[in-house]
Amino acid sequence: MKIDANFSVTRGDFRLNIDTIFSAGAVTAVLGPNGSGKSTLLRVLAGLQRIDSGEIVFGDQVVNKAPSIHVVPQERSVGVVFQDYALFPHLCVLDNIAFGPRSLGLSRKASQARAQSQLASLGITDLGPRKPNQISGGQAQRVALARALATEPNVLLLDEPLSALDVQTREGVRAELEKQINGFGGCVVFVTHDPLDAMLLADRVIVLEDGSIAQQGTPSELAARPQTDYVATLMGVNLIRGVADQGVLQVDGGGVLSVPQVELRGAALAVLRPEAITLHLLRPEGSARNVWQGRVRALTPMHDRIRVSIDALPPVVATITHSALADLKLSVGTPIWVSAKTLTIEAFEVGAKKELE
Amino acid sequence: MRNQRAPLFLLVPGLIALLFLVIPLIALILQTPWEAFPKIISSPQALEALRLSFVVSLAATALAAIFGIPMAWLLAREVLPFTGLLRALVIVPLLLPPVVSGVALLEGLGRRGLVGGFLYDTFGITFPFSTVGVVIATTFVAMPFLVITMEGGFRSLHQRYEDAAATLGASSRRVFFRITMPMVAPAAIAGLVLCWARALGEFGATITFAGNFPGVTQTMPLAVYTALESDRSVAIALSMVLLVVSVGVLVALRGKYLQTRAS
Repeated sequence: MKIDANFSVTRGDFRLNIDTIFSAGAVTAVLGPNGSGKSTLLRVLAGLQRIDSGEIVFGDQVVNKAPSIHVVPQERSVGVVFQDYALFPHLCVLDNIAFGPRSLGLSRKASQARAQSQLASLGITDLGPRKPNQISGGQAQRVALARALATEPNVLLLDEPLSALDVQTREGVRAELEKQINGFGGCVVFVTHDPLDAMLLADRVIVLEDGSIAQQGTPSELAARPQTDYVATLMGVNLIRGVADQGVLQVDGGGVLSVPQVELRGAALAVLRPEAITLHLLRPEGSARNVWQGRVRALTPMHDRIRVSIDALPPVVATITHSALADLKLSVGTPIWVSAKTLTIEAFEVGAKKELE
Repeated sequence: MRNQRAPLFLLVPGLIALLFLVIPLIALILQTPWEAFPKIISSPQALEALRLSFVVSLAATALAAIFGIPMAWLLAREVLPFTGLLRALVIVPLLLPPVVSGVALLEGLGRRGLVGGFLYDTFGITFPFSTVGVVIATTFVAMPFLVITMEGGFRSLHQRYEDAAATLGASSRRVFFRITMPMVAPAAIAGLVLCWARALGEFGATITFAGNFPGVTQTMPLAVYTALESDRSVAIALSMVLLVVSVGVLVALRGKYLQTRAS
């Protein structure tokens, strides 16, 4: 079942504007900073929040049509995994999972049997009699998922499914979650602020900024052609705006880049990968067409490399190894030459391929 | 006990306050005619008052639960306009001198009252000076305790549990009885006990609205007041019963629901 969503919601100063399709059988990640409206989007799809205009269609059922139609959550066939899971603290794990089937009218016995088989499929049968405060965060995540799936919904919605977990448990739970949502078969929408979750779990990513869709596409499209600074930062690449003409990009704010896309004309974006940039203490004489000078603004250690932010025209971020840092003896304020081969740069039209599907 | 010495300027008035609160209770215990106690509280009038008090206080608590808990929910969820004003109105009976509550009830539900007049003229129903009148007066005074406690309980319950239950297909009735109420059970128990204890001790509104008729409207506190004019030892013995109930409530709730927030 696919979801056709075209609506807006206004809450005080904030306005959420969505126009997209969540395909059947696909996993869509909604990625965005705090306050971008991603949780509101999920609440709208779940039926917990009314819309102010537009309509939402689940398959061929109109679930929202402002202002008259609003199908309540109970009648939507959605399973929701809430942020922090919202397991009912007064019910044991088994009864938490059996709550949905029981609400849908199954007998107590049948509900418990369904809950039991959900637990079994997640390999956590022994958690059944425990109360939610007696299980770990990773286990709670599994139980929340089991509870959401126990009603056999057509749509599975997950709000920051991994954010409540610490880094150690996260990877294991992510792998488990990936298995579960790939086996689900219906339409999956999950909200996250972690690009890694989006890249690893989703077939398609929607980036929300300030209540509207900044970009949507497959993870690799986003990485290759980010349209906004936020997306570029998330993907860890330099996004440079300018005006292109015959293979030369006049950078907004100063500077010139040679780009391989000679046919490109007009407003353009160029992606420059931090690992494709070379740093030099002296002006390099070589094949690289792009050579410009700047100063080190900041050094950020990552686990296997150093991110070097450089004030220059254009400003860029480069990544170098620890040994390169030792050789160059960089510190904040060091004058530095930056070079990048033309062929490592990809330039494209602004707004190009915003929607490939 | 903390390892801290209290300064005198706090120690002296603090101890005076303590004595002030404790001495009358000790005196009451000391003055209780223990030998005559069984005979006094098994006298027809005392038994009648005891029975009436329990029936009335339980009826008032039940009414407060049936109507007050939904009202607490309405206030907590702010579904009505002017919730702030409505909450203030609910608290008023809590602060009002009970005698004033009695007068207000007479004006509202008395035979010549705003609504009571209509009920009397149309159906011949009259509340004052009847057992039903006692229940009404008691409910009026005691219900706010339950409402305020429950409203706090509903408010502190995060919306996401009810949301989760709704997405799992539970009707609003099922959400309320299976999720909301069990989760606010501590507040509900505390509120019901406070409400019941207040109902048991109700005096001013009752005597004003319902009068003091043995077997009909004379509850324990009224019986104590009446006995004080004839036989002091009866008054003391009946008071002792109420004191035991109060201490029982305190012990029952101790640590559990009336906890002071430690550090």
